[in-house]
Amino acid sequence: MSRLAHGGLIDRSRPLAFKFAGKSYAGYAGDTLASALIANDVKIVGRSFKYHRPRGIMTAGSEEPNALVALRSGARHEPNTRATMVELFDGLEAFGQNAFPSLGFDAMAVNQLLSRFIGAGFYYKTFMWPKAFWELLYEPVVRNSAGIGIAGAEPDPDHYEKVTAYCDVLVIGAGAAGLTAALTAARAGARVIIADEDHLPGGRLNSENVVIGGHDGAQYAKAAIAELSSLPKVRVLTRTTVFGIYDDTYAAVERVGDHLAVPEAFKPRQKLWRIIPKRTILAAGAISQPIVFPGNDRPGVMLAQGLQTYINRYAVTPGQHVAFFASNDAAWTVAFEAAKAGIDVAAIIDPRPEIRADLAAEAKVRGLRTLLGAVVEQAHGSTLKAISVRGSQGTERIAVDALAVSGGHSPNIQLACHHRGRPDWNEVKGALLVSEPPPGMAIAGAAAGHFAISACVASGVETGTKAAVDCGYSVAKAPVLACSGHSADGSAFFHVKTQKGFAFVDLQTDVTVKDINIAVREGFRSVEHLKRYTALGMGADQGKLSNLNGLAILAEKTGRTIQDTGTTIYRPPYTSVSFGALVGHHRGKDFRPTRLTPTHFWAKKLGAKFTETGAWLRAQYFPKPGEIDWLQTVQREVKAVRSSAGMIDVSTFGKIDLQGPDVGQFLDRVYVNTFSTLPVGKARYGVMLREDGMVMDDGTTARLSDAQWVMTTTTVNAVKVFSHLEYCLQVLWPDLDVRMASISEQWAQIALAGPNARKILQKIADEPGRVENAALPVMGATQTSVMGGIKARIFRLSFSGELGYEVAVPARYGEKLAEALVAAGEQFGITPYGTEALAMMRIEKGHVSGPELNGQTTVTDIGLGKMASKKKDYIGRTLAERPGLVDENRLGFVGIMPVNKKNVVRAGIHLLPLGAPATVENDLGYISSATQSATLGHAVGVGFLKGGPKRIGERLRAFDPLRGGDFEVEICSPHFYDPQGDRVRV
Amino acid sequence: MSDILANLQPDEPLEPGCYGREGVPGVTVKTVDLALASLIAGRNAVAPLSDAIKAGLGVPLPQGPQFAVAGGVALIGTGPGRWIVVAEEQSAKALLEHLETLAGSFGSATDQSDASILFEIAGPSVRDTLMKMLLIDIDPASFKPGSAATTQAALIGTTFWQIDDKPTYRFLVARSYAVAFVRALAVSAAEFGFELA
Repeated sequence: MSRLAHGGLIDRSRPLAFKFAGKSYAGYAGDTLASALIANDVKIVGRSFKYHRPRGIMTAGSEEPNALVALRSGARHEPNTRATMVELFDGLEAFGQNAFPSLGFDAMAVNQLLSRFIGAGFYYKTFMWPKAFWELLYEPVVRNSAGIGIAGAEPDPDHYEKVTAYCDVLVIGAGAAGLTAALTAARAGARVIIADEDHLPGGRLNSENVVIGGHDGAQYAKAAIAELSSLPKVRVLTRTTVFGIYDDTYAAVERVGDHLAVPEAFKPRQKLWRIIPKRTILAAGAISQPIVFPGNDRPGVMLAQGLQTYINRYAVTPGQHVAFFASNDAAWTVAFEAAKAGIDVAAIIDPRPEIRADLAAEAKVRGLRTLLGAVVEQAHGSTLKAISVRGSQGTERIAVDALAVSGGHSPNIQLACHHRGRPDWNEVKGALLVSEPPPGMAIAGAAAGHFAISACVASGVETGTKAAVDCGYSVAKAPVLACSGHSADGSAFFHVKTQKGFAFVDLQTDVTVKDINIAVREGFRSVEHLKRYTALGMGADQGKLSNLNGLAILAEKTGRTIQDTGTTIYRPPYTSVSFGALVGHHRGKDFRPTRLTPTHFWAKKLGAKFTETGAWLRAQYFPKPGEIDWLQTVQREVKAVRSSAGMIDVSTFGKIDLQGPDVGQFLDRVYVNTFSTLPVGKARYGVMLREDGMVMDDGTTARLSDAQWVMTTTTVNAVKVFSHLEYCLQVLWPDLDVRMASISEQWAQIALAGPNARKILQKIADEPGRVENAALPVMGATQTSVMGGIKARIFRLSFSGELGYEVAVPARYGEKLAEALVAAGEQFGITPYGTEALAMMRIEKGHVSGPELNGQTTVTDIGLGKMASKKKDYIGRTLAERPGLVDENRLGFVGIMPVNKKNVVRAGIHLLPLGAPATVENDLGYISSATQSATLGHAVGVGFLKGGPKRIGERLRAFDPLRGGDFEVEICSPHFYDPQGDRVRV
Repeated sequence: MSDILANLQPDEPLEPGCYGREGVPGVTVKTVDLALASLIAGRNAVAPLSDAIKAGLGVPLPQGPQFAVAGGVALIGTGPGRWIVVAEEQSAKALLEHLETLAGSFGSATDQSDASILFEIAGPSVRDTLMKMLLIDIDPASFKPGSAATTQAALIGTTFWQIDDKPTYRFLVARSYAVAFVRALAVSAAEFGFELA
């Protein structure tokens, strides 16, 4: 056991059992999986990406590149979880990754032997030839060996949520700077959200021995959080990572239930927070910078900051004999703390030739060996056994089982660069710092390069004050908090120059110094190119530990400064985010909300099958017992309409109430045909064009009174047409007095069609005379009442080609209307039908619909050119006269019939001259809609053909390479059924 | 299973009852059947229309996303020159006629009593629940009794307003989306306990 006897912010009274790689272990509440593994002397936690080298735990935070484990099993299996971020819970089960058969012995580790061949660019160079092998052989093999972790195959059983929150001040990070900033702003009365990725806020205060205002760091953090939580305008979000800035919105993920075996009942697993602050303070701290030297990936090599956390916060030590290799004073402090905790500190190795006298003195007092001007040349052992140290006295080997390294501190400035800002290299701080963060953001604490605790706190107070004042609050001057902590001096140190062995720059993607050398040798100078050629920084850790070392080495090799070499672009997310959190409740069928028609439940009772048309669920067909397929059902429905009567809910059409003195003029401008002359009590079919001359939508508009009209649009374009009309009124013609209101939802509308339609309608109409042929002729509209006083609008319209009416009643009466029509039509065998029969009948009639109004057709293309007025101007008229749109050889609307009536025509079939090869050059057009006509007894289609109706009577080749089919068709009029329209007039 | 909708298809309405966390529900919802109408000003007629409404009802039309209550009706601004009017006691027909009389030539009214379902949502966790559905700020600092908004909730278009400090909100949701709205509300409120009246 490597658990220290005393100390730590763990609860030793609450032991927890867990499993890793099949073995049982114990830890304590307050542990992470990483600290618990260290306590149990587990050294190898995973295998590396490319060379399958054994890897251990490198850090104690979200920057961890190595210790990626799979968590849980079954549907909750979760790959690539950082062991350093997993809070231990009882019964936790974790597995190592990328190793077969075991973490201890991995067959793919043979890749190390091949390393001289598989350096940077290997794949690009090797799998070029022969070309055919790429898909057959290379890609499957490469894909099989690529990646880390295996995604779960079962649906995620948990749910996720999205939340939107506004605040005055968002504080990112609850360390010393973040807490003081939040307290300053909150005490001034500001609405504050403070988010921290740890479950225990405090940041480094929980890991380092510092004093703030007379309290030790952890106590201060606890008290500060208690005060913040008590304030009504403050929201403290723990286990929450702010991972990106998108315009003015900050995105954060709260891991609500990740620390539990199963989320609490009714609680989400994770919440995505969209936070819109007026001001933001980035206080995300800084992380230890690793040093590149051979063997720097050996399990046992750890960042000094991580080691400090393990000793002080978790009371565990990754080794019994620890050496330090660091170029800054903070690491010396860690060495002293380790010695104080009873750990054998074998040596402190510092490349700096001189060190502050007080540190040297303390080392001496503690009896610690110090090697100045020295570097670790190599780490030995599959788990760390020894290090070779090169100093002024030559090279020596020191036996250790842990090595703490620190080449400096890397401020967590990623979020400050999400608006494409680039950091600058600050030689004094040895860090990349951001001078121009996104608007509204200030950077505080170590993230701004203030590594000493007093400077951290001062910057927190300063930024918190400014943010509160900017939001209109006044801040009382508070006494300066006295702080004490370790020295923050040091110099950045990146890389030990040596030719020995694997020296890793990027531990997650297995990029070595050699790979950078290859890239430089092959002419890559840009850091962006280096990244893509070597995969440097392309792991899930986004190169937090590797980018700086990589670019420092590139700078050195190319003879440039770090500033001149520059950084790659920082992009969200700061840490990995699950898709679940991004999706929230909108998954599966809840991808978008479902709209239900006024007769939905009535249709459901009748056993209707439904289809999605946009967000709507519409009845598709109403099968009866014994019917073998949808086609049989639909053909029955069509025959019923054609022979007697049928009904369909058409409430989904867009319906717009238009009132005011200028409606007629307005309609003349938006439709190709004239409406201002339409008499009261009549409806007219109209076609609307887009500005570019293409058809936008069609529908009927009726005039209910002198100054009130009602327009219908297609279901799919209901919203588009409304916003188009709004645009016309608000922007193009604000001088017109038209009052427009959507009434799509107000009215349930049922189309009643068939030779017996009038008889049925008269049975439910309160004034049957109002729907007589003479009183309500074709295209007539009337306002009346039905079913004993329910107001109704009745339009004599037909899409089916039969005598037809559309009856509208207030939506709450939609079901009642459907039931009344069924009862009234019982003696006539009235048949409810769905969208399939609707489509079959409109194709039989040659009416255009969605597939024809496809954004590529003009009013002439769809066969309605004669409708377009020559006497008035309307939207789209000018551009519809472009030469290409009036070309005689454009595709025109025709009907298509198979010569052999057994052939099935389908939408999408292409038309070619008889005997012509199926080439693009020979293509004459295509079938846009087709159906197995119940009325005609064979398949028919409508479509678009070069030359259009001029080709009627010709025979062509119908070619369907996708679904199979190659047969002869005859071009005919699209009006297959009752072309004169006699049946609607009866 | 924590998802109360796991076995409920999107076209199956949630039955009245209590869902989610047990105990006092954090969110309660009921529907209120009131007469509704849209009122739209004619060209350059916002001011005279407002004057006419003030003369008849005692309050002018709110200019902006707010609401005003007078004479048994609530007037909610939904856009420039556009309002939704909710009548506490009048029938749909009476409301329409009343508005048409008041508006005269300055505006037009349209019956919307069947177009929307009016939900009244309250309870101690109502704000935390609505934060999951809305993209706008409903903190008391920016949204209070008298405030209204026309926006979307869980991808569903809505006009809503706050009627008291408890707080209680009224949401107008298109009839076709009512089942989907309750679905989104229930799953968002589940962690606090949800009661559908």
